[in-house]
Amino acid sequence: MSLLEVRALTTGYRGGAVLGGVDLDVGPYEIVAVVGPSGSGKSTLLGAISGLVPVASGSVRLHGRDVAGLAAEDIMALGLVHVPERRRLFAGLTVRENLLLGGWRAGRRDIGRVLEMFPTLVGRLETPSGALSGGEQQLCAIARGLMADPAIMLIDEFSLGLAPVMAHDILVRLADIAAGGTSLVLVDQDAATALSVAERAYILESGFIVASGPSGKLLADHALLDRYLD
Amino acid sequence: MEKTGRRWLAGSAATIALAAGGAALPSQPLGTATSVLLFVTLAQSWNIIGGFAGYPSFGQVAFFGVGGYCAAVLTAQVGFSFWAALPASAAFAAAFAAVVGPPLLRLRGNAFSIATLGMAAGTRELVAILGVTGGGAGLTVPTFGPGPHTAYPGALAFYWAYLALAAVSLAVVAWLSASRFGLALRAIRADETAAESAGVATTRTKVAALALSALLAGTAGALFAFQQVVVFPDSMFDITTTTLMVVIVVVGGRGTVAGPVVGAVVFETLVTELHLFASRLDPLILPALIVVGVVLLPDGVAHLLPVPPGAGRGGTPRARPRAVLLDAVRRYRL
Repeated sequence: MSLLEVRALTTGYRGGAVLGGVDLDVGPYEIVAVVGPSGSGKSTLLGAISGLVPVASGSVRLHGRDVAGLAAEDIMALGLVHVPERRRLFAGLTVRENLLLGGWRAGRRDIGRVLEMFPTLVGRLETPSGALSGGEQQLCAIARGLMADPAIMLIDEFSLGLAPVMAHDILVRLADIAAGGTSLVLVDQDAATALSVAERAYILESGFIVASGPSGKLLADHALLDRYLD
Repeated sequence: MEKTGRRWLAGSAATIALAAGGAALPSQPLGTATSVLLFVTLAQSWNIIGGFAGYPSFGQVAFFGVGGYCAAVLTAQVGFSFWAALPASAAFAAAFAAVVGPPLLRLRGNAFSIATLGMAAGTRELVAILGVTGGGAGLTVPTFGPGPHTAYPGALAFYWAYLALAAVSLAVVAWLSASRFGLALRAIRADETAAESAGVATTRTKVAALALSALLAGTAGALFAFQQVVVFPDSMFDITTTTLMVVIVVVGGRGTVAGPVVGAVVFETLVTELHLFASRLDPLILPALIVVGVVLLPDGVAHLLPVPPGAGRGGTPRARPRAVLLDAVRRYRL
């Protein structure tokens, strides 16, 4: 059984459809990428799954339970964490406070476990998160998400604005996180980066899934990549 | 001793000193000090929802008025002693906030502010037409006579009561600033959508904050009703009360523990003393103080204090007075 099962999901803003009936599956320990040109609906898809964007129709099943229409905090309590685009850290709050907020719902105050995974943050705990570099902010955002000990994490544009070395470093950590038992859904405009770490991928175009399959197979299909990706 | 322990000890010592000092004050300064203490509580009440949560309520006086009228009705119509009516009034004001809060707190920014203004005006009109509240003719809190009543305790006792309430409100905000609840409020203020995605139950947290702020405002309102003896809709729902709460917090420092105290002392003292010396200038004094305060200290007086005022550990760095003044001169070409 899939950990996350999305069926015929539609949503939109002000009457205009953004997603036109998306199907998506994510299994345990799996890394799945959703790629596509800008404006294809990737961020909306993640928002609709996590409860930040209202769902018009369709279902989102987490552990077999339909969560479409639930509030974001209730979906999070069921084990799904969303790391939004541009990290959305609380800039005026310290790294420590950001991490504590990640564990807010679950009542977790022990930040030691995530600091072991992100030792870079140890010396920055009392720094306002707005003062961190782009890479550190992304690490902090992922660490904040892990504070909830999620079963699945949706990460939006994880490589945005990062140097290739830092993006690679984050990819390595994401692979470790998945190996530790947290499934990942990665959305990124840089298709090659996302596909390099994901086992399977979906290509989204104008709100529709136009192709899906093992990442290696999609990466090898140059005609497909040229047609749908920037 | 831990830093927190030292702060509590210092706070308790200051409260005791102020209580003893009040007994030595002549009538007029005692009145000013009492007014300052009332506004410390009201400003802290506004600080919880407007400062920490970032929801600028322009209708906070509604909770003050509801608390005051609840105390008046319970003592005058039901026969409660004032001291029994006091906690009941505070609880009623908090319950009122918990009822009006969910629809109001669905709104953000200007829409929220305007809606709270409307809520306060509506509550005032309701009180003015209800029979149980005495309508526009007002209601008298019984302080003497053969029936149930609570003896009027005098100016010094009211000073002590407002001092105790101000100390409690300060303690509540100090606790809030270091608590998990306060952290959630600051996250909501910073980015509500991100707070939601981080798992903060935003609606419940905001309603709880509004109810807590109403609890303080309602208690102050009940004390004020007893102090005034006769309450009217115009006196209990005066929009100037909300204006002062907002200005005191903004000038003192939003989302800080000390800011509203500093703001209340500066503002209430200036407004009261300037009124005594130049009452004809009353309509100009408050606006002039607001303009001067906001232009010169956009982040609040608390940011000039030696101890960074940031709620919790992530406070913004201390501003230098000279830099603040130079910045104001540059921005406004003074």
